[in-house]
Amino acid sequence: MGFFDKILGGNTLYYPGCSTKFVAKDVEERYKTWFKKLGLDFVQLSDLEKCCGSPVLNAGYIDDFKKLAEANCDLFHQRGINRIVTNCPGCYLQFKKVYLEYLGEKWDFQVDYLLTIMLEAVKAGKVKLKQQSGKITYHDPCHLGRAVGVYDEPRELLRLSGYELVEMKSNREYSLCCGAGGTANMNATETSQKMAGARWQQAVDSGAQQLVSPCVMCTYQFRQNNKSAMEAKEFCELIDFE
Amino acid sequence: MDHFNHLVKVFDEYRLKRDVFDKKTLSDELAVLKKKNFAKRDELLKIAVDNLQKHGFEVFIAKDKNEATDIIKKLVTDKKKIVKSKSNVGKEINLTEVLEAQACDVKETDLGDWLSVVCQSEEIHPVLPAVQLTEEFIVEKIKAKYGVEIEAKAEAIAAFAREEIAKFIAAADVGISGVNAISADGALMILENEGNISKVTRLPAHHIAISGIEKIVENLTETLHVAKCAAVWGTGQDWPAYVSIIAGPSKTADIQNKVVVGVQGAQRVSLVLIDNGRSAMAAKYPELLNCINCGACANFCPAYYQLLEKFGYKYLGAKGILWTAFNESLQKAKEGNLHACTLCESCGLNCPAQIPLPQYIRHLREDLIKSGDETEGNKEMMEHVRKYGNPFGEVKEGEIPDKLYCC
Repeated sequence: MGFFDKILGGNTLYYPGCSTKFVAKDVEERYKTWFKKLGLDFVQLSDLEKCCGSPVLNAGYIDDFKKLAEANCDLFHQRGINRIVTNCPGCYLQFKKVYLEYLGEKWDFQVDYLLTIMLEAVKAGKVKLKQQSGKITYHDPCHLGRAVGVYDEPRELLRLSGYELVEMKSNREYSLCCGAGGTANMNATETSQKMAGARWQQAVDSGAQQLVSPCVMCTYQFRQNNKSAMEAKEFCELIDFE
Repeated sequence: MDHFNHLVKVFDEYRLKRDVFDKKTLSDELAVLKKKNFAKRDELLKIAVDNLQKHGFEVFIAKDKNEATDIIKKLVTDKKKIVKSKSNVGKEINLTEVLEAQACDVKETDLGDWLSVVCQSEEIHPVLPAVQLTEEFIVEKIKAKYGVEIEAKAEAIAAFAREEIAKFIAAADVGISGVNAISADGALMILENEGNISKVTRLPAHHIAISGIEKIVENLTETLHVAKCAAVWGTGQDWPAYVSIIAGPSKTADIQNKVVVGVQGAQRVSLVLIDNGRSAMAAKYPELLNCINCGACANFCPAYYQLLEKFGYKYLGAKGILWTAFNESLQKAKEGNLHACTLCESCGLNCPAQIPLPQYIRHLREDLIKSGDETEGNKEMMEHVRKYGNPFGEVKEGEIPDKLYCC
């Protein structure tokens, strides 16, 4: 993409989402290197863009959610964005599906999930994954799996990286939430922690050495409630390129 | 006992049985059927009442649980021996407690409910109320209560229960049952596996059926579709062992072609139709009334796995929390752990009636906020969002927020 395109429109926005941006800055830096590997030119709006609204909507502040969606939609239009790429399952769900329900046709951006783009590039031979080893188990983030139906792409990337993938007892459509979602972590903390504990139990029982999720919130929820000897990794931490 | 692993295993087995059926077609048909009947619910109610009365039912309509229990108290009168089959509506209106308060002897005949009483345990699931109780635990409780030693095997326990329950039923004056669907052409459809409902509705002289007003469908064929879906999503079966279609009291014309009412089955059949918040539900949460009480919304719910009977109130799972707001109050729904729902979408995906449960949970939270009840966490998060455009507030360079208000 040339300089003039950036001014005149047709920009790709990398929207990392608040968790990635404010909590897991290392994760944001790592995903930015993915764009370079992909040869995907992007812009970032840092503090100008607002929260996608996921926790706001889930907490029940529906009017506030609409305002955030409107503000983001207007900002993206002003900045000549036509495509949004994110690594965050929560933001991806909002942009891919929920904004359409609330904003209608006005929401006319192409929305893509970074892992899906990466998998396509790997399969097309444009990017080569560094071969790894180890037994890992993949946790489906609710916003990515049940909510938008992305189950295979992350698993495929892990397999192509050489990992041995083992499933937890509850997986895919029947995956169990890490317990952080829907504002349960702040409004029902004790139950939220128990949910994380239950999921850890399934991860340990799977026989894997590491638990991986492409969601910063899941990853931090697991880390904060870990009583096992296993580690919880954000997806990008397990993927490297040649 | 580790109930978490136990429940995951139980519902994994359930899922394997359930998923051999054409769920998509069954569920689509159920949703269409419910939507159509919802649109003409007032008309259907009138037709149903009219036809049920023609078939010899005494029909009552109660606007809330007090009216419902008042009607039933009058029907039953004092000091009666009552047998009950499983009824969610009965639980909703505290029927057992109310009847016991007027010196009635109320006995549960559903094995799961009977076990809950014998073991003094909470009913933890709408379809499998005693699923957490082990055989060893049950036989110990039976020994303590009845002084008999039984082998710690499901078959032996069921055989003992059969004998015990048969005694209550034989002695009962009144049988109280729930209803799975009401055909507007004048009949009740009740499904079961155990055979207790067939007895409860037929052996005592008086059968009182209690039902929410939302269970009326247009005709008998539609009741059978409800039965099919309830079997598939309730227990993963293709069909329940028994489906009763009850269209009035038992009768004969064998003697001189003279109609005698009350022969070998019930002599008197009463139906109490209960609103108790359902009309209010219809305004903002119409599809909630699609519910067929299969319990599937709880079966893969991570919050339910931790909270069991505390996730909801009289009804459990996401449906339970939502219904509680209307059957009881918004406050009770909150106490039923409305905030523990992670919006993981599992309930919505598993609901045969296609109720948008996650979306309704969001709206119920909105109702709570608009009633002036906000959690501390929400207040803080919203202050941040409104001021800084993100849930964490002002995050200084090199700092990481300690509270993860997100997603």
